[in-house]
Amino acid sequence: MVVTTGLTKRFGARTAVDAVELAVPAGSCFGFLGPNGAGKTTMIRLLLGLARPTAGRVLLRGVDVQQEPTRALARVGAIVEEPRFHAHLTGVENLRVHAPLIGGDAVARVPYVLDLVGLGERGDDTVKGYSMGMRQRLGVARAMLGDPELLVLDEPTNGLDASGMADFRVFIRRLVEEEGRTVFLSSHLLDEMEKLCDAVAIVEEGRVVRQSSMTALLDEGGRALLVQCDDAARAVAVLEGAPGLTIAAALAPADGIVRVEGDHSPAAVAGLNRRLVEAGIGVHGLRLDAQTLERRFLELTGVPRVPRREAAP
Amino acid sequence: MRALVAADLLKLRRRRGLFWSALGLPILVGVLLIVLALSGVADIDGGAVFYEDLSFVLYILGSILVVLVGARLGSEEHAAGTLRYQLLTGISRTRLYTAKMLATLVAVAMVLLAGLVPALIGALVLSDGGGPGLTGEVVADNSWNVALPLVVSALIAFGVGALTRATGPAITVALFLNFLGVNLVLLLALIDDSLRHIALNLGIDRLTYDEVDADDRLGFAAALIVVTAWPAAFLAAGWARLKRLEA
Repeated sequence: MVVTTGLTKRFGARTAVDAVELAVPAGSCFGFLGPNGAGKTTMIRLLLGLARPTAGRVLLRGVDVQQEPTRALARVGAIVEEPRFHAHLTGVENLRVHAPLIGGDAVARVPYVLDLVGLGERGDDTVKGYSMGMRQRLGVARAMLGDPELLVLDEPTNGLDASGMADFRVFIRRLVEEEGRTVFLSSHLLDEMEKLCDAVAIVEEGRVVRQSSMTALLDEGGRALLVQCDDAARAVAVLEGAPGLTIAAALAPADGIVRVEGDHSPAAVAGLNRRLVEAGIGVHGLRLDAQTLERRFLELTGVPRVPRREAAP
Repeated sequence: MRALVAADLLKLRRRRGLFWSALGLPILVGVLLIVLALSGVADIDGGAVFYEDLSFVLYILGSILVVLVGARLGSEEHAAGTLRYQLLTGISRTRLYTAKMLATLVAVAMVLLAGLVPALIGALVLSDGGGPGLTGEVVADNSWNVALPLVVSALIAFGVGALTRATGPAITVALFLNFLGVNLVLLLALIDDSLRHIALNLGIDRLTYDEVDADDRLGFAAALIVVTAWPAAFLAAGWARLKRLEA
């Protein structure tokens, strides 16, 4: 659905997007993740033909966005950075003045898309009275006006409260699973992305450092067993020589938590527990620590995390 | 294209202050003059004079109103941050620009109608006032004398709006050019005296009232070129700005 080859954007000496190769499969929810200033919005502007690349090309639905913008952007809806509107117009009017640019039955879809985002009742209020969350919803409504195959949403959950975010998650998953649309999301809310996305690309300083399905990304990081005991330092010493186990870190020595990587089969966990108990160490808890997108993100972008083996004797 | 123009006019119509100023003021002035004339407070010497006077009032008033409208239509999408959303529909930038320019012309036509229709009604009512009566030629001449400068001012303001991309500065610059721009051109006459002939007001005068001194009088073709070239230059600059813009 979206393919980029060697996509590069330079602003003077600064390279904002550096030879990005991206392939977003059709019918998926794709997360584009990166720290602030990593080049996410510039990348989205390039994808949508709003900015011209210094090198490389973007294909949307198989069409070059720079060569044939009208054909490439037909049935593409987007929010870039923040949804902006004519504040003196109502929600309905904002959509009605946008609809002729899209053509087709866009005008007729105005009430439908407003209902879709839960703004049916407030459509006749002027946008200057809308909260940030309502503007986000109206932005999604505008993006949906053209019945898009591809929806590109830059930080779409900004301004949404917890319930709004949950609604948004359901909404996006429905677009993908029931309607077969492709959703390209950029966000810094990694927890939300983990719940929503089928695949992700992690970007840092304009380069895509990892692109993968969500499952593969999380699996690559491995899982750890968290052992909570009454003497973490002695537990590390006891377990270090154990065959098939790696003591990755004593996460919080003061709380007696030891992180153990390696074989986490029931037999291995029972053996580990027995070893600690036989050494006279009280074990309070054993639990599998699932890999999270946030942890993988921090690993891949090189942001420091809890130092490894900080409490090892 | 018609739907795009209608959408731009809707945005303008919902700016109630500007909209009612642009349409209401010319109507108000016209009605006021009719009332004053009928009550004998104002001494109006016949329908032709009434139409001439009122179209001149509309010229003065309209010179400001069309600049406000043109500058706003040229800059509005940039200023509101909605241009990006328009462009990502894949619409051609030339088509977008043309639609807004046409909306500007429609808005000018509305201002003219709002001013000239009451003037015409008043002139017909006062046609027996003693002076020369209203003729088709008087109506055509005076309407043209108002319409041409207003259209030119509006298009220049539109181009300035597209160039500056901010409504406030666009209005300021366009008003300055409208009323004092001729002085900037006359500075060029210090280099070569013949350059004073490129001043827009000389071209407009030649094509309307045709009352300037023989020394400053332009030929018809030259006047047509001057009057076309100035708005065309601003429109082209605004269009080039939009074409190059990375939203």
